[in-house]
Amino acid sequence: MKKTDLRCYARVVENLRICTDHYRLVLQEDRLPRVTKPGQFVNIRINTREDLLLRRPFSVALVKPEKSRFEVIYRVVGKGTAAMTELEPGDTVDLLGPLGTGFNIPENAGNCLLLGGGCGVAPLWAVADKLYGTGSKMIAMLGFQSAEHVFGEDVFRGYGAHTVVTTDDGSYGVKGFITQELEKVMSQQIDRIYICGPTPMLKAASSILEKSKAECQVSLEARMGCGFGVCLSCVVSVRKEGNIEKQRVCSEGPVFRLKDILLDDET
Amino acid sequence: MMKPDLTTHLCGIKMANPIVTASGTSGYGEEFSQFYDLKAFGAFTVKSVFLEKRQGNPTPRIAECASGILNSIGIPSNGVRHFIQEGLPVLRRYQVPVIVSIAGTSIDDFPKIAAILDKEDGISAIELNISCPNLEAGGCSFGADPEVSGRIVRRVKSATRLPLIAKLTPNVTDITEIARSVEANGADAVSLINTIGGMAIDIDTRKPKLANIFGGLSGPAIKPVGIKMVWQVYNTVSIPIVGIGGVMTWEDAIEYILAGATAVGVGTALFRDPWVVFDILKGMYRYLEQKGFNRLEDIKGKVKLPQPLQNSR
Repeated sequence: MKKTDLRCYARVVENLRICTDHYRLVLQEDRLPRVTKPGQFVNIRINTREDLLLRRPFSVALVKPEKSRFEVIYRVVGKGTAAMTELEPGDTVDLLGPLGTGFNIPENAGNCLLLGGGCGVAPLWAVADKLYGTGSKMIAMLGFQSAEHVFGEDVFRGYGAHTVVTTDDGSYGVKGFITQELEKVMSQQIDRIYICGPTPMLKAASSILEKSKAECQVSLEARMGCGFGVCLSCVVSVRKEGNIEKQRVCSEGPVFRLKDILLDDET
Repeated sequence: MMKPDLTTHLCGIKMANPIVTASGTSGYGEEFSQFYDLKAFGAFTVKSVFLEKRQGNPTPRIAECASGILNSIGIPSNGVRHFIQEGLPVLRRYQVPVIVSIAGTSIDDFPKIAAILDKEDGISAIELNISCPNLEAGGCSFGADPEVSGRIVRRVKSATRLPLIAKLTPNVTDITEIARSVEANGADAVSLINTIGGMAIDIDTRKPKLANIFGGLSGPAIKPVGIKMVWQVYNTVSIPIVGIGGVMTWEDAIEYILAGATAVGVGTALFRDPWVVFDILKGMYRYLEQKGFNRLEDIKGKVKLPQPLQNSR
C-alpha cells in the first residue's frame, strides 16, 4: 500500500510583516508546491516553543512549483504565531501538508468572484493565481478592519482582477463591510464565488447569496488539534442528504459548499 | 551480548513492542494507516465505541494549555455495530493486536457491547473506558467509585472471554482503591491515567475556552501525575499496567516502565508528530543496549528508592 508522506521540512526564504498584524512567510521545498491545490492548508510546528504542543494550521496563499516555493499569510493572534514572527531566512520549518480539500476550480470557471475578509484573503491569492490566464473574469472583493490591516490588494490587481476594498472605518477604500458591496455586484453574471473570512462575514454573504445561482465555495477556519482527521476537534455542522452531520474542517473541509454549512452553529 | 528485545506480553497479548495508542487519540486506525503500517505499534487501541451512535460535544472542543491540551470532544461514535462493519475490517488488515475501548452511558451498556464484540474475530482485548470525564451521564465518571468500577468489570467479564483492561481515571482521591477493586473483580490489566479534569478561560471574552466548560488535560503537563499513579498502582496490584499520560519521547516511555508499566500508551504526541512512535522505539532500544539490559521486563518497576518503600500509598 502506498503511504503518503505529509512531512515536510521547508526552508524560510522570507518572513515579512505586510500590515499591522499579518506576516507573509515564503518557504522553499520541492514536493509541497507541486501537489498543493488552492484552499489546502499546512500545519506548522512551533519548534522554538516546547510548551506549545499543537501545530498551527494555515492555508497556502500561493504556490510556485517552478521555484519550489510556497507562501502562507499568518495573523499574529497568540503565542504560536508570535513565535513564528521570529523565523528568519535560512531557518527550517517542520510542517505537515498539503492537508484538506481544496477549492474546486474547473477549467472554464467563467466569471468568478473572490470574497475575502481579513486573513481570509490569503487562500484567495491561490485561487486568483489558478484562474489567471484561463480567460475567466475575476472580481476580488476584500474587506478589512481599517487601513493598517489592508494587504494583498496589489496581488489581485496583478492578476487582472477588478478589485474592491472596504474598511469598516472607511480609513481606506470604501467605508463599510465588504458584504454591502457584494450586493451591488450580484446584478452581474457571476458563475462561481470563492469565499474565506470571519463568521459574521460568512453569515452576511450567505443571506445575500441565498438566491444566487452561482456556485459558492467557502474555506472555513477552525481550531484544530491534529489537522489530519484523527482528533475530531474541528467539526462543523453540515447538511447532507436531508440530515445534519458533523464533518471535520481539516479532512472533509476546509472547503465546503456555502449552502451546506450551518453557520448558526459555532464555526 | 544479546541484542535487546522489545517484545512485550500484556495479559495474553503478544506485542512486538511496548507502545500502544492511547484510546481517543488514534480513531479507528484509518488516519494513521495513511502514513505507515499500523504494526508500528505494539497494539492499537481504538477510540471508545458506544452501543449507539452519538454526536459528541459542541465546538470549541480543544484548547492548548502550557505543555498540555484540554479537550472535550465528547467521544463521537457511530455505535458498536457500525464499528464492526466499518472499523474492524480495516484494522484486521494489519498485523497489529487490536484493543477495543468501550464506553457507556449506563452500567448495562458495557456488558452489552462486550457481548457483541465477543463474537468478532480480530480483537485481542477490551479496554473499559470507565474513566472518561466528559460523559454527560451523572457528570462524574463510573471509574471514580471502586464498587461501580468493580461491578462493571465483573459484568463484562461474564459477557466475554476477551482479556479486560480497566482504564483508570486520575480524578479520584485514591487510585489504588479503584485498582484493587477492578483486580479483585477479574480485570486482566489496568491502564492509567486518563485525562485530568480541567478548565480554561479566555480573559478577553470571559468565556470558557471549551464549549463544554470542563475538559480533560493531556500532554507532558500531566506526566508526573501519571508516573506517580503508575508507581502507586504497581505497588498495589499484581496485574500488568499500561502507563499513559504525557509520553512525548523515549525517555518518558522508559520512565513509565521504571515506575512499573509493562506497556506504554502514546496519545497527544501523535497529534503533533504521527511518526514519533518510531523515535520512541529506537530510543528505548538504545537505552536497553547502552545500559546492558535484554528486556524491558528487567527494568520494570526498578526505580531506585533512597530508602525501602514504607507506604506506597
